Amino acid sequence: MQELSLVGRSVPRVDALEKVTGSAKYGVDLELPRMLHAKVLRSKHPHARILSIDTSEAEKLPGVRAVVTAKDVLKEKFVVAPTGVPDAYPLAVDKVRYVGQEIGAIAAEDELTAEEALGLIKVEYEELPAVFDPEEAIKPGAPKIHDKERNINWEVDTEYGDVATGFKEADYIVEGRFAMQYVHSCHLQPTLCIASFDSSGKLTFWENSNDAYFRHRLIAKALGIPASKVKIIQKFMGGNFGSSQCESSPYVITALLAKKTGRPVRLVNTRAEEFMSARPRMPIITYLKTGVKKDGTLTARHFRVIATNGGYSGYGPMMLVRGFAACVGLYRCPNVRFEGKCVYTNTVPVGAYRAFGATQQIFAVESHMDAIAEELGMDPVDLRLKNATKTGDVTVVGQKIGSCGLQECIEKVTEYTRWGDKRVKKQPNRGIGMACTMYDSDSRIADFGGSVAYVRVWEDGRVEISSGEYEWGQGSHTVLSQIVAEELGVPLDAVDFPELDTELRPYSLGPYGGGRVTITAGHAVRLAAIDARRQLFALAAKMLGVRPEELELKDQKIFVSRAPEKAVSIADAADYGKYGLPGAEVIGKGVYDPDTVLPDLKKFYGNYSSAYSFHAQIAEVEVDPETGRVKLLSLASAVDLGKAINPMAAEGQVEGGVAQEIGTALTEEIKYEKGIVINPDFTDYKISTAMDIPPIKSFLIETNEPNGPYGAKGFGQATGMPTAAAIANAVYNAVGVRVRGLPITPDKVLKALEEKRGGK
Amino acid sequence: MNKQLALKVNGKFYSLMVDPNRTLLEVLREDLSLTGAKEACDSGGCGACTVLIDGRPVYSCLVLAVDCEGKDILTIEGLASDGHLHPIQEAFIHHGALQCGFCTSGMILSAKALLDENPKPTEEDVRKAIAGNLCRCTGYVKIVDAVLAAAETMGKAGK
Amino acid sequence: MRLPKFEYFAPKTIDEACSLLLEYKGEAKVIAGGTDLLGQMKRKEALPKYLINIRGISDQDYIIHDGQEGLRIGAQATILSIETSSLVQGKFGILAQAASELGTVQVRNRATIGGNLCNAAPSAEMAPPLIALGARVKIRAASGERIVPIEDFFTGPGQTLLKAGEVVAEIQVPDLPPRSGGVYIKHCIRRAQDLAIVGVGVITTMDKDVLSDVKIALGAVAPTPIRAKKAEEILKGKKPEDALLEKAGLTASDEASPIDDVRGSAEYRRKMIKVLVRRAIKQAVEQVKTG
Repeated sequence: MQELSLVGRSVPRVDALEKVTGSAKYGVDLELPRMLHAKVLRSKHPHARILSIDTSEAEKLPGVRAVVTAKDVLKEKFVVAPTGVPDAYPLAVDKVRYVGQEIGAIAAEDELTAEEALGLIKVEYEELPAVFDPEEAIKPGAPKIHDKERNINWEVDTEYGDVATGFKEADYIVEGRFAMQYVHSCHLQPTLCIASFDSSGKLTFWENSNDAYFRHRLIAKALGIPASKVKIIQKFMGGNFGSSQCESSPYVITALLAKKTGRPVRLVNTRAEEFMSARPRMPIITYLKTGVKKDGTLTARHFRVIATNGGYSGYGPMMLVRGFAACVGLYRCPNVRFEGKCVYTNTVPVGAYRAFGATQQIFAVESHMDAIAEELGMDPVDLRLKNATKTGDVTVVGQKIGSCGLQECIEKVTEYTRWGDKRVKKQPNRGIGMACTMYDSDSRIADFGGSVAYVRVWEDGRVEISSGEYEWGQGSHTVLSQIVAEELGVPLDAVDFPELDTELRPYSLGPYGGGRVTITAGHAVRLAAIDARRQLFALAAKMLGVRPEELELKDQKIFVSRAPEKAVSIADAADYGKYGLPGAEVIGKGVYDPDTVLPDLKKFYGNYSSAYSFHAQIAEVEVDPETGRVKLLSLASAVDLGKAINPMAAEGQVEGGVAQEIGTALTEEIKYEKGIVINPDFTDYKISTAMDIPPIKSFLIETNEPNGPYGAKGFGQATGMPTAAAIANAVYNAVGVRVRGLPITPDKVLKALEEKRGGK
Repeated sequence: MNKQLALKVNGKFYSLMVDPNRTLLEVLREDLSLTGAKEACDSGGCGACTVLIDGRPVYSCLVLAVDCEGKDILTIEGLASDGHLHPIQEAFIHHGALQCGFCTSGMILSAKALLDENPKPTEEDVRKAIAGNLCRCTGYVKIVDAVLAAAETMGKAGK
Repeated sequence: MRLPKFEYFAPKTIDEACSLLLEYKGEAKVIAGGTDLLGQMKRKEALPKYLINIRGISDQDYIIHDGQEGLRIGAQATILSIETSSLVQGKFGILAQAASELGTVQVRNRATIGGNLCNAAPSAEMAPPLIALGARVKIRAASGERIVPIEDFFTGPGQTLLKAGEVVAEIQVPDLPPRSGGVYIKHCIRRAQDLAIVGVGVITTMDKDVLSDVKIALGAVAPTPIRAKKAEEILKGKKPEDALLEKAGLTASDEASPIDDVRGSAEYRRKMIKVLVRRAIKQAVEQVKTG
């Protein structure tokens, strides 16, 4: 086995210095000469026909440089997702379908003028009846949002095994309904886009999405510009967590305004706009029905899932199915039916946010597991262990489990929290709850699901990684730099990772589907580094007059194994390659495409990810029975991540993911009143502060994944997946009430307690 | 409408003409190109714009620039001195106390204000001092560790 | 988000501020810490044509104590200075406690007691303890000054009885009789940076084991912070026994007129008043007992 010096070590982030000194430049920090500022005119109505738009007064306001509306956009419907239902325009055409939808935009010399000009645009609407709840929207007679029967934009009904027989074999059948609310990823840097044309007609965007290459293609098409005339540059990103991949209007708006004015145009959402229009996580209602034998063996499971899609389809269908697949593989059960509907509503269109459709459904699955255990009189841990998926399994949806530390994760957190004692010797109003999950590490969402990287060695010995993979804070650049430094035997600070630029860096998918960067890009940069090393050895061999096989690399020196005094530095070899020989500049190339399949969304089956991470969490809570307030006392997490390339960064992923979902569990919800968001700020959309987060203990379980670089797998997206269910289960253990619709707010707990007392 | 404004930022004196409706954050970012302080929520709800005025943390998005006449402002760019990082910056780096980094400038300055006033804080003190700085990436665990570690380093260096 | 344009004044004396306010009545706003007002202006909820910054008035930032008026807090004393004042912590702990729960450090550094009261949010943190303490507000105008009980100061959400040309100059808090205790309970979702769903401030004074005096003030459950006088009457002269506290809580709940809003339902708020009034009085009595 390879002896590792950097991989596996908790080295500081490669961008830490720039970030702690304030010198890191984010998109919002960019200032271009003659830059104009854009503001977006947004719909005030959840559902209305646009009868007319009069921009003449706005255009007359001094300082206004351009106004755009639907008449300026191509009238071809599109969808941001690679698979999905084309149903949107970048600026509303004829109809608006949610409050906040983009109708027009203004570019002005300053923000205040642009804002003032918005107030001068006159839009005549014909208000239409609106519907906000997906279960109302599918009823006959509900207002029709698009031309779709019962507002169902997409549905699926698929069966694995024989569900009817499975239920017949069951001793018990347990049913439940669970719901996750609208939550927002709240990345701190708001959505932004700066567009600028150069004199050759090339359009450059600076922005903060997480799929520049997909977007590049989509935007070129939406604008009717050749792909080679569009480029996207990423500055430092102030978070993301998936949501930005689902929007396109800011690009089209800024590009149109830049085109009209011949000047750079900057658009930055206000926080209120983030809440009303940047894509939140898809709310999902999950009805579960499970057949189980007396001994706890699951015999059949029926998922009936209804998703709030908002006004437009986007990634809805994909999230629905992939979320299900991620959740169903956790436990062995041969008979499963999945019925899912994505339903249009007059609310903001939905997007991804940490674990693509799965965080919603695992809340249901893991709350339901505890309800089943209760029905059987079994310890919830025993029920989980009884059915846990294991290494070597092929799950009911075709996932091939190459490594699985689920059992070890469960054992680790139960032992650490003294689960057994606490379940037996329960203190009043205190409770302990568990939840688990699995999630794909690098799920394939396109025909090419891999990654490409170049590694160049400069004549001064510095190493440059050229890759289109994203860094939005999760630490991927650090991990990839560690891998390259490892393979080339250079110190970490000799590695550079220049910013993403779609013109200069090779194609990348972006961090879709489970934190795919660790596996796909990890392999790609490793292969590129190995290729660069091979080139260096060839050059050194020439310089030293030996064969490459006779050489070794250590401390940035390539030397002859049997005569270490015969050596050249990496820098000298690279210099020789660049200046001494024709075309021998050291540029390693790495291409990695995982051995996975792209399943059909309607008959979802196949191994779509080369590995799967496993997670177990235990939450401890104290409930105030008079106020209903839940105090989270502690949270323990164990994650099977194959191998921790950087344990400190891995822990950071766990702690951050858990903290986000503590908010989902207890405090966060985008609240609507008649289609209008009534809490579009951080005062009333309550993400956790430092005071709200209890001690978080995290265990990293290494299972050496055969498909991962150094045995590692992607796991970061899923680190918060079990949190809400673990907390809900702990609340049940504490006071005997189960809140099935998140968040678990004091009033809901109190109401449930009153019902329970009343029922006695 | 412009008003004359004289203030000290990171040890340097500035004399500027500013409109009264501009915030300290806008002037720092746009006139002085000090972009370490960020705008993330616009209205005092996140702490990304935190700077120190006369040693005390404030939301610079909720301070009128004209109200800073004669004040001594410290932004993240002014924290390291003579090429040496402040112990809090060192601790953030080595404890993994940052991810996307968008909250980091404000977080570090809130921590500095705390440690200047209370060199031996408890964990609860630290959490309370940074409660006005939201971080969406880290779950605060490593931030709290870093601030406590910095307190220890500074304590040793000081005595 | 940008602030709208306005004309700006920075008077150096309180009289100058008062005359500016009189001159531009209806169109002018006073700014002190700015932590509430500037947010409102950015959201275009407040669009004053004239902004009068009173931070330059130097003699309004103080916390002192004298034999006659008791505790005197200048209108421009920051919330942080109240939180950390040993004078306040010593004899008026309830005020320091409420101050420590307002907003965040960054807000407390800027926000002033005068601003918190004049902003007149139904959930204003400092109002319930000050009402329970029987505080008075000294109001200044160019023509003179007047003193009003703080419980009369608020007239509606965002509304006070200040007339054009008037500003708050000082808050006066009378000394408490011996054997008094005070507790403020803020009920909210987060542990920091949150607004109260219900705020309860109580002051209890004991004579042997009987409640000789009780004041109960409630926040976020009516258009203004209110006093629950009927609940007080139930308790006065009685022993603080559980059944009685329960009854007082229920009565206080009836005295409130909460609404459903983004932070909680009226129904939930009523239930919480009942629970929290009981708890606050219990804790305040406990404070007296333990000295």
